[in-house]
Amino acid sequence: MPDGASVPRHRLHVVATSVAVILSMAVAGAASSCVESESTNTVQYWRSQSPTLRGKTTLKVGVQGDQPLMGLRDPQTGQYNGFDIEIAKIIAEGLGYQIELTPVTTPQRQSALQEGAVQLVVASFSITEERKKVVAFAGPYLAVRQQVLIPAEKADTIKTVSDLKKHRVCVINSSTSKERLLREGFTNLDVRSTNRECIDAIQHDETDALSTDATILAGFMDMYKGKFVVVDMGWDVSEELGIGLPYGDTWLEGLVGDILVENYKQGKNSRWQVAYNRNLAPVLGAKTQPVPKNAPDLMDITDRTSPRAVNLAAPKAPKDAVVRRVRGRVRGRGRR
Amino acid sequence: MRWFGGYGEGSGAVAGASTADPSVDPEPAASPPASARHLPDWPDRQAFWTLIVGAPLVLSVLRLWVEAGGELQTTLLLVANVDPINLIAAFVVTASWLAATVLVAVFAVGGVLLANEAATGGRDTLPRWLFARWRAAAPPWLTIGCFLLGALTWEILFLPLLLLAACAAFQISPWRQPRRWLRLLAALLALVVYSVVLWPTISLAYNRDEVVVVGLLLAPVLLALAIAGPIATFLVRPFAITAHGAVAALTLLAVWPFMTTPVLPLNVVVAGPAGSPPTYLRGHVVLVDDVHTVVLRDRGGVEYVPNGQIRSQVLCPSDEETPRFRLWVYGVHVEDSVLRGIGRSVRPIARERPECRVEVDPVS
Repeated sequence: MPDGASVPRHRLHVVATSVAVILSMAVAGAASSCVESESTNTVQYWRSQSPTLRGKTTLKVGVQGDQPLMGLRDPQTGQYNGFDIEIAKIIAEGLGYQIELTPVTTPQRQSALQEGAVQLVVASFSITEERKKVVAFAGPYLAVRQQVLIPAEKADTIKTVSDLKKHRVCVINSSTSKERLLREGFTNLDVRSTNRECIDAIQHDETDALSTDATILAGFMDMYKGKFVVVDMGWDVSEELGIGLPYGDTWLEGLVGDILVENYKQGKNSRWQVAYNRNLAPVLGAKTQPVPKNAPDLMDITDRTSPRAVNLAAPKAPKDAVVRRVRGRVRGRGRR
Repeated sequence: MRWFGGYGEGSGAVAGASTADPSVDPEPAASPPASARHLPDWPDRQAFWTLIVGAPLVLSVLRLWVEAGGELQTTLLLVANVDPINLIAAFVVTASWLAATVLVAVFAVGGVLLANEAATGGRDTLPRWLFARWRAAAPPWLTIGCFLLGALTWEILFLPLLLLAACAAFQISPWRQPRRWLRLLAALLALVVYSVVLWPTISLAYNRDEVVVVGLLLAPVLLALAIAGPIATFLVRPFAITAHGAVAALTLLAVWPFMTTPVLPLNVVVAGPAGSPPTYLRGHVVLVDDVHTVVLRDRGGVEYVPNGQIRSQVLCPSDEETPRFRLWVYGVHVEDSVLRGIGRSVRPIARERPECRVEVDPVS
């Protein structure tokens, strides 16, 4: 074939082939190292490092049993229901463990973790700097505001913070609600151990109001239809609810955070959204999951499945009718 | 078959090439060397076939020994209870990709070296380098079969590398005469189609800073355009030595995970007398008879569990199945092979069962 003109092309061809062969070996080497390298950014690795999870097949999760819509124990069956309960199941299942629900009261949440009586706490546990010194948190999984529950007949007398200060206000020991009211200058606090005790006290006229998270109050208002109303005192600062974890176990903190992130990414199809729509949306209205903070992005075996293949059937949030009815009862937009 | 370089049947091309001056004409270099049937018989051919047939058998037995933890009695227990058919089936399932990888690497290196020997007029003599001799000796059904096996069992991420290896092994070049422009046009069209098909994955990988993935998806395809043909003479020797060593090292490195891959499936057996806390036995079920279930435990030793005490038994995945990337090509994960992708479309992956979390045997 060749004539004089083809010679340079041939040399160019040899050079190009030589370069291609050398680069190909480099690419093959890179591919080989890619196969050989072991990733530590996996759920399996983090799980193996967690001292809390080591050697366990069942996780004890502390939950509250007296908070309608959040965590309520049926005395007849012993079964728990509510948003927190579903979140606890999502976390335990995501971690790959069987779950054993253990009742804890508000004051017991911290100590149960510190003493190792439970491995996780999903019980309307607000994330605070003070608590972070003794327990770890993953989340937030819900943002809530503090409000006040009063008997319906007192709706006209308790409308503002100053009105409230003239009445007895039941709060739960070791709760952030109590801390807030103390900061607000409340002196007539009726401190009790459980929300149930506060509700009973209101019904027996031993106290006038209950102040705690809006989610818990919405549950009681829904349970005692027409007997109570929720008053929004205008405390705009939201509290973030987190999953309580043993202090120092950053591996477990990352694992739980990763599960929350996974739910957050799935958006309206997530199990979080299903749980919210089923439990809280009827009284609190539509809401989406807050962005989890400081969570790693870990790989799991199920990440081989394409996101397009994940098609969880998420029930829609109920019609607005119920929401409007409940919101209509919220009175007295008082300001500090 | 000339498009494929005509190994095994391109005698015309070989004859034509044999008269050319390699210092002037690029065509002979890109043409295939003599086919296997034109080469004299040599001992390496026997060694090649001995390796192909004998290695799986030897490795399968050695795997049982490794799985038994090196214990003679445990090995004998496994040998007595593992069906040879199951052993071979387990070998095929776990080693098909390894066999394909090693042979593809051998044929790719051999193809490049053969092209050089052809360019220097050595087509009718015994190829100097071992892989070149193996490449020349391998019949088309074996070479093509290896590449097809690779196409089915390699991770999708590495399929572009397989294409590159195919171009090297079969000396496929768009620059070759005749009809060079037609070939170039076809190559350009193939590149465009490839880019369009993989663009969503490549752009996603780029956005996630997965440079390795972008490189593995793009670089081999571009290199494939220039891989066929002779390399510079002074590079042949260092390339041949390095490539032979690299393939040998790759094989040794790949043999280790292969040897330690269990022959039997990983189970957790939950057992214990009624009314007492359960014991979690993590390991491999060797035998189930009327009285006992025999478990070869991960932590060592063999446990004979009375069947009446078994509460449940679950199958567990291995940690190696966790992927590194969150990237898919039309719903198939880049770290899945075509075969696995088809499998997942039939039956999606399930979450790990809680019982599989047991590292040691706690009493829950």
